[in-house]
Amino acid sequence: MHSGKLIRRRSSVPRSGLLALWFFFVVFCGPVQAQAPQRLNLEAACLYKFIGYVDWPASAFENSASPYIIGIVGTDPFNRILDGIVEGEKINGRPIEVRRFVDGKVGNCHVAFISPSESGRVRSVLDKLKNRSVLTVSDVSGFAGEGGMIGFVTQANKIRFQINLDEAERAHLKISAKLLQLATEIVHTKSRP
Amino acid sequence: MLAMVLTGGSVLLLTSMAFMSYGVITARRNLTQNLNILAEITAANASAALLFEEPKTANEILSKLQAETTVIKAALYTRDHKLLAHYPPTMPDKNYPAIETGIISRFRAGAVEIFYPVHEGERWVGTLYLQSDLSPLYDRFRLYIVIVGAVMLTAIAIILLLANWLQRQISGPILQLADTARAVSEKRDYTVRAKAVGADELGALTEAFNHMLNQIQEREAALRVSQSELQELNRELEERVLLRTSELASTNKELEAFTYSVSHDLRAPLRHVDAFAQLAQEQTVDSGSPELRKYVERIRAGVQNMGRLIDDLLNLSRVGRGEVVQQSVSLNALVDEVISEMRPEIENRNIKWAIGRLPAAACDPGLIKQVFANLIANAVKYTRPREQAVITIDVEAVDGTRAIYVRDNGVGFDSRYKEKLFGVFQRLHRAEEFEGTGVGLAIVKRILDLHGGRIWAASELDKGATFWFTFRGLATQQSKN
Repeated sequence: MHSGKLIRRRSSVPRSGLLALWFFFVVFCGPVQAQAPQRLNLEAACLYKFIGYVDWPASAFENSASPYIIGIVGTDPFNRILDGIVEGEKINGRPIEVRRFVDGKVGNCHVAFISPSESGRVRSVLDKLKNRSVLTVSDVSGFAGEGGMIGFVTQANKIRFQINLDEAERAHLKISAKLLQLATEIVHTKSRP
Repeated sequence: MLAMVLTGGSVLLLTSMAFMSYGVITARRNLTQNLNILAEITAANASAALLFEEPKTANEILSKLQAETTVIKAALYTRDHKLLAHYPPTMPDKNYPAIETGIISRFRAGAVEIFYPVHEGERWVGTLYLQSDLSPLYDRFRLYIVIVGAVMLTAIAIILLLANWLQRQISGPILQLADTARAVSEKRDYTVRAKAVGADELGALTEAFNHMLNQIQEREAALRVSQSELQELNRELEERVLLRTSELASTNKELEAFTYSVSHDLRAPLRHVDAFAQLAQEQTVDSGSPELRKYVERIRAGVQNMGRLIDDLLNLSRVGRGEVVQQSVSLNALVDEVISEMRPEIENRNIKWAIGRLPAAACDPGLIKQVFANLIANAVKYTRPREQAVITIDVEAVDGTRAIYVRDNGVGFDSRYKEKLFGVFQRLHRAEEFEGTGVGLAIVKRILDLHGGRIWAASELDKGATFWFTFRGLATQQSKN
């Protein structure tokens, strides 16, 4: 167990299976409500699912049982939702942890979700994570084009995502073709003037 | 030939059926396996799309199935059993079946289908449904039919050729042999021999056949010899018979002549005796003892008896002499004459006459009249004890020829002696009961012999008697009455 500045909250939400079931029940063809909680549910589910389709370099883990760490940078918009989803789940034999980082300080993690609260300083967060093998995900608009790896987009009432493969490669992350297939767009980093 | 074709054909058919069945079973198994593989691959491809519930990608993946032309439809269902994507895209949702759990593959309604659970890693993310048509099966089946058909045709052709060859080798010679046999028996030509073909079993058969014909020929010759011997013997016999017959005939003639002369010569002295007996009788009327009278009566009766006897004998011998006239005679007329001449005798008798329609016949009327007279007189005589005498005279067919019969209900005679009836001096009744000389029937028989006929009788004691007679002229004449 890692200790740290994080406050790890134990989830008291019911088992993730039931929750996932509830998520999936509303997804297909159903319009994504403009209400935030629905979208967040889906985003949280996707965060969890992304992990299965990404390969981190071996150096990202202490050992074969070390957990995947999802870090939430900025204000946690998910409340307990993400915790509920990942509780008790394992991917590739690794459990999943959720950590919260504030003040732009991003600790050790494998997936970094940049909260909308940081939408002003996305660039600086990304710079901090430049040399680390961290999958950056956010629902800030244009995230993938600005150097993020996976950016959520709301398209025709459905949650979609764009993937920036260049950034992922730069971070030594291998994203499965299956995930790439599902992306609405594979974007490239806009060259900075 | 037909047997061979049928045997060969049916064996071939059975074998083909067995192979075809095996082939079809294997094809079905292959079909299922292929579908399984296809499902596995598609499921693996679609797992992410199912996990993320991405219909667009899911549909894309399913549309790749069009490369497999046998696929009719496919569908992806999410974990909560909702249809995520389907193929072909134009088919409405309701055409896709409800989800079933577990791997289920089966044949149903002319297609094969499979429900395949999709996993991402260890997570079950949804289910894939595939339905494929059976065209590979049908194609294979058609191919088999074509092959079997071709093979059978070839086989039958070969069988026919073989059968033909066998026919020439075996059946042909046998049939020839049969023809020869038939020719021999039909034409009775035992000099015919069968042609020997080869030294094998058929040759042996032909040899044996010819050997048999040899034997037959010899027997035939032997038979002819004995036949001619037989004929020779027959001729000898006939000669002898003729000789004997002529001897007998001449003997008979002598006898006849003897009888005639004797009777004739006996009459004269008898007349003398009768005359003197009559004189004596006249004398005793007036004088002389009653005993004397009785003695003289007895003498007269005896003399008269003798006279009748001699008359009858004379009659008998006369029958042989003189011409036998042949003319068409009405038999009924004869019968009527006889009965009317008897009238004085039967005046006091109760006689019922049943006379049928007799035909006309070619005969000597005098002689045949005598026949009727004699038979009718006998019938009248022997029915005397009866209250009413019933005498029937009619014609009936006996053994194919017409016969006249005279039937009475008299005392009859013991049929044990019916052969003796027609002998001379044969009497079957006592003289005290019925008078008679025993010559009458002999005369009748003689007359009928002369007419080329015969007479016979039947009787039961006390029940009556029937006398039948036929003669040549009776058979040939048409009935005119």
